[in-house]
Amino acid sequence: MAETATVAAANVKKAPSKEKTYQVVAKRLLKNKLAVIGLIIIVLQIGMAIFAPLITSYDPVKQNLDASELPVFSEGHWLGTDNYGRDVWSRIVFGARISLVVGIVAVTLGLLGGVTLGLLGGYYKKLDGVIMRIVDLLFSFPGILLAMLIIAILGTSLINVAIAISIWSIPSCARIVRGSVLSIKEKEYIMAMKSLGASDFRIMVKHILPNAFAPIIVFATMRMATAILSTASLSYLGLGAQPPTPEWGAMISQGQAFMWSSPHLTVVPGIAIMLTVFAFNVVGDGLRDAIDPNMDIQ
Amino acid sequence: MISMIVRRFFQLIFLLFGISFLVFSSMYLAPGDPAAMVGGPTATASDLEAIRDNLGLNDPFLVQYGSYLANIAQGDFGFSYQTRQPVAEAIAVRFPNTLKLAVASMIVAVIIGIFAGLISALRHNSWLDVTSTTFALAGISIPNFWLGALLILVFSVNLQWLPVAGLSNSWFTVEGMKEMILPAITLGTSSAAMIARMVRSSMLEVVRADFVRTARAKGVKERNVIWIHTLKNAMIPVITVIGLNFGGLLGGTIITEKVFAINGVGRLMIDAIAARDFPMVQGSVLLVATLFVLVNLVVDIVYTYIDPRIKYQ
Repeated sequence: MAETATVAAANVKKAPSKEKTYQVVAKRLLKNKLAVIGLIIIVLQIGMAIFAPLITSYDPVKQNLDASELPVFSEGHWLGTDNYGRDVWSRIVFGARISLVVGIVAVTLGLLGGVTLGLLGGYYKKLDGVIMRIVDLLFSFPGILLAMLIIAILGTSLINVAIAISIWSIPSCARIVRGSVLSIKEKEYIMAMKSLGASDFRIMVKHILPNAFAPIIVFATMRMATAILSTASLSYLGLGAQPPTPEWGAMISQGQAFMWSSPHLTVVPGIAIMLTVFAFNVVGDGLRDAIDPNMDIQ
Repeated sequence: MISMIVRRFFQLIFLLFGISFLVFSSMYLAPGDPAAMVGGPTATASDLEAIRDNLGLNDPFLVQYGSYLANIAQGDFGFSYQTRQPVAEAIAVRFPNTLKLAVASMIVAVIIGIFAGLISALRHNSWLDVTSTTFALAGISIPNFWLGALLILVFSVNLQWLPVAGLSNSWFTVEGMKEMILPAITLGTSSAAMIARMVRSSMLEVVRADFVRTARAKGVKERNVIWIHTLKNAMIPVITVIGLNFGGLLGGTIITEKVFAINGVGRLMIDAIAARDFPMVQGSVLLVATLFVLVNLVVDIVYTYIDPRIKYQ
């Protein structure tokens, strides 16, 4: 008995210092090579977006018809120029800023709506039926169709694209949060808070929400990929950014007319979109595996 | 099973009412005077008032919605502000192209997705698995309008193997099939990637199941273990993904139709949004959303049928 106690004590001494959850998640995430590649791409894109004026030499919308349709690796324009003589590298860099900002705004608004509905639906049984029927209704539209319907009402602009994508994100987010809330609200510590007289608002915001944070963060990361891709798609269709805004999808749409003479006008922005969407997807995948390998996120 | 179908059918009716209400109220709230769009720039104030009376635009919202539903029940979706053509007629002309495109893309997605997923799972952790998984990730990340443009550049412009645009020939002719190849690959790639990922994870899960180990222990040939015992069970979740993707493909045709200049419902919708032709937007959105929920219902029923362990809640 005494021997067992000594061994147990020794084990306690040997046990590593308790790591915080985010440190464990970060360690697991950094072991995933694809996720690390994704993180590097995202950091580079954020850097491009922030320091855009410093890393480009040209105004992304300023025309120079004397230098139109220059091919890649031309002097002074390493990614060439478009049909108006605008520097493609400058437009790509400023386009990164637009994609990120629209993506962040869309995902944030979507999270606000989705988390609120999910929390209320999961916590209050009486509201659940109504909220879930609204969610079902929003789910009955293919995403791009719902976005187009909203743009049809609000009109074509990047802000309206962000609003449309955020509304499209609400039902998925609400379902994920509701699922988490339903399981968390049965935990003993929530019962304890209730018996101590904590208000519903306090329980939801201070005790349930932080514990439902893991699936929300994974959802947000993956949704960034969807948001950036959808922004580009809607701009390609002429429903988002309008000329001469240097938005990647709009750049492809404009470049398509010159695909035979200047294919780089189509190819380069496409690679930028693909790399960014790929990066957010693999980081989202990696985060999901790092947080909980068995977690199910759509 | 029958009670589940009946229950889902009633839920579907509720959902269809919801969709029609949402679509109608969206267009009702949209800025702009429909009478001015119908009357054109030369219409006088009294002309506009007459048009409003004629279209019932002066009625209260619920009365307008009620007559909208009554008209839909009779197959009358209104008429286009732009062309004056009945919406139902315009959609009926274009819908076969959209359906053809969605079905062809689904065929491409299922063939490539199942094949890639199987190879990935059966050669787990090999270079084939890494290649297939990377391609699947790229497939999910690639913008389909960009992929379409690249395919046109390579196969239509440079190699001149396939036509650039349009779906003008019948599907069951060589020309018709050639026209369909590039749009179907463009639209089906991301679904193929999703199906491949699902097949891979599902196969890897089932291959470790007890009944597969038992089959191997009993001396069942490896080929039979894979094709009869593993694949059949691994396909259950895959069917759901395939069904949901088909619904998504109906929405996805919007972009592909634009890239390949296909005269489908998606392109009709984009043009209608640009021209603020609300009856056309209403009609086409309503059609695609209705098809989407119908496909989801069929998937639910098929899913319950092929996996009797699932009792629909």
